Amino acid sequence: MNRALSLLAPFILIAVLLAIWEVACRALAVPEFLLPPPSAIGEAAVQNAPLLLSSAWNTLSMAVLAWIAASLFACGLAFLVGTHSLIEDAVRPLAVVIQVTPIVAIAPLVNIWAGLDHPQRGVVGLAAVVAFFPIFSGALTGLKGADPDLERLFDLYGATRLQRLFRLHLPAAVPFVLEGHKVAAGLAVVGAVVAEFVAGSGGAQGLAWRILEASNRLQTAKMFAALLVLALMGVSLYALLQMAERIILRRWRGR
Amino acid sequence: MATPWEDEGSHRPIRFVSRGEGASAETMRRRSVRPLILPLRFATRAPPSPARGEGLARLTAPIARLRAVEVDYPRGPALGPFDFELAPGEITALVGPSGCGKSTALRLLAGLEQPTRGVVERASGRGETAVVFQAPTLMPWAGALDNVALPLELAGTPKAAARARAAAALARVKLVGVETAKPAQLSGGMAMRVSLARALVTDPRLLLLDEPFAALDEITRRALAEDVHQLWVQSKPAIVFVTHNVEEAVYMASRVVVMTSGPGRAAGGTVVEAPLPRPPGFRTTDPFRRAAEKISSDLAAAMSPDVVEAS
Repeated sequence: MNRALSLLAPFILIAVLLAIWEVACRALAVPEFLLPPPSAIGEAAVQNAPLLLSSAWNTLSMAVLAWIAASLFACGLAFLVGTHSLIEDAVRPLAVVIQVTPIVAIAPLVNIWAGLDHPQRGVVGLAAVVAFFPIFSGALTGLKGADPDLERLFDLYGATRLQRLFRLHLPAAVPFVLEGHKVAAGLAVVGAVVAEFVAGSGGAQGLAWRILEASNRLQTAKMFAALLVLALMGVSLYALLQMAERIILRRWRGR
Repeated sequence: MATPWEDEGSHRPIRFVSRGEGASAETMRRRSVRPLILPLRFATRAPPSPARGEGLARLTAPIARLRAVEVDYPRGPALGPFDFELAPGEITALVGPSGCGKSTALRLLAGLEQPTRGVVERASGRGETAVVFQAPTLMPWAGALDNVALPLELAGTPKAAARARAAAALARVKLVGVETAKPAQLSGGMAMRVSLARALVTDPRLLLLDEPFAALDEITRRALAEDVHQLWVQSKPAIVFVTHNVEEAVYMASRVVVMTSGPGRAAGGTVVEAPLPRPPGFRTTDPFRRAAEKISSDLAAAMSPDVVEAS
């Protein structure tokens, strides 16, 4: 009973908040372009469902592409850096620079490089830049994060560099790499949305573009509907990766 | 099956010497007065042990020896000057308060650390020295059998042979049916047994135990202490057992060296006059009590402020 209640609790809260919202909008006669009631948002979502879903697919596919690119690049670089301390000294500050630079600030540049005719490329590139850091940092931490006593054990038995890498550092990095990918997936979506906003041309045709478009036409309900789809997309992506992480970790540590 | 440490006799002379690099003028002078005994020369006529409170005259060559070793860490001196000698097949306990350099001494004996000054003489062959740490220190992603097989596989033993010997080592520590279990699925005591099996799988001549039972409950600890003695009887490795528990030291070791902190030094040694493995009820016998009292008073003396100042 208690468990069922705790599972239901967030939905009950959402329902209550939506009800208050709906009632307040009607009672105070708030203009719909300012704040539409949830019923109007629902209506807009149903009406625009095909458009919103195809836009969501665009954003999602660009984010996933960026995520995969970031993963390959970040893991490769982390591997290189983790095995050569000199390269690490050289690369770390640069990686931090990439991380702390606001993506909005470099977006116009990336869009120019991607070619103004190909806004999708710019979006993927920017999302990949944002997704890069958590994966890189996680992989690097993991590669260097093995139990020091296990390192000593490998010293004791005279392990070679390759043995140490394949039998200690790579397997020890797995949980960190997974965590990095989970965080990066959320960031890739954020990066894709921000990049779409900056590209602004409508060429990318993602959810962010729908929001911009609806905003220009004062279709506030449609903006909310696009936001709703975006939030649902983020939540399901996170849940999916959480599940994948749990399954892989259960295999990794046997529990 | 032919691993580098298997096909040789069991009483080889020590053939590896590591020396502190930052030798001070003082230690240089000491060296010129008492010249170094090089490893190859001290086969059977080892001089009497220099360790203070040493009761045994040894006829065989020591398996490992620390000579006036000192270790300085960035935060200050951690150990020494400290002299220590270990005969083949002997079980010695190092007892002292936290931070007295017991674990540092152990890492010197393992060759995992180099002394700042002084000389470490030890057998250096792969698998001749094994260490059991305070935590089981298993690879969380690998099953028990793979964890135990690790030292052999690192030495290039073919997988099948390594796994067969690992299975035998697991059986020696009374673990059967946990071959594929990963560390997270084992209890603390079982994980420690896996760790012990991994140390034993190479048949080491020197087994270094760094507070291996500290994280276990009393019952598990006593069972493991008995099992370590049973295992010791089978292949008679020399054992150094680091602990801060006086009773455990007396139970485990035939010789107990008391260490004092800041920096760590030997502050007395006690020989425990009783057979190994211990007879039942040993913890209530007079030799046990006498040794425990002597060690406790040595420790108390070592801990009192004026002794620390004098040292």
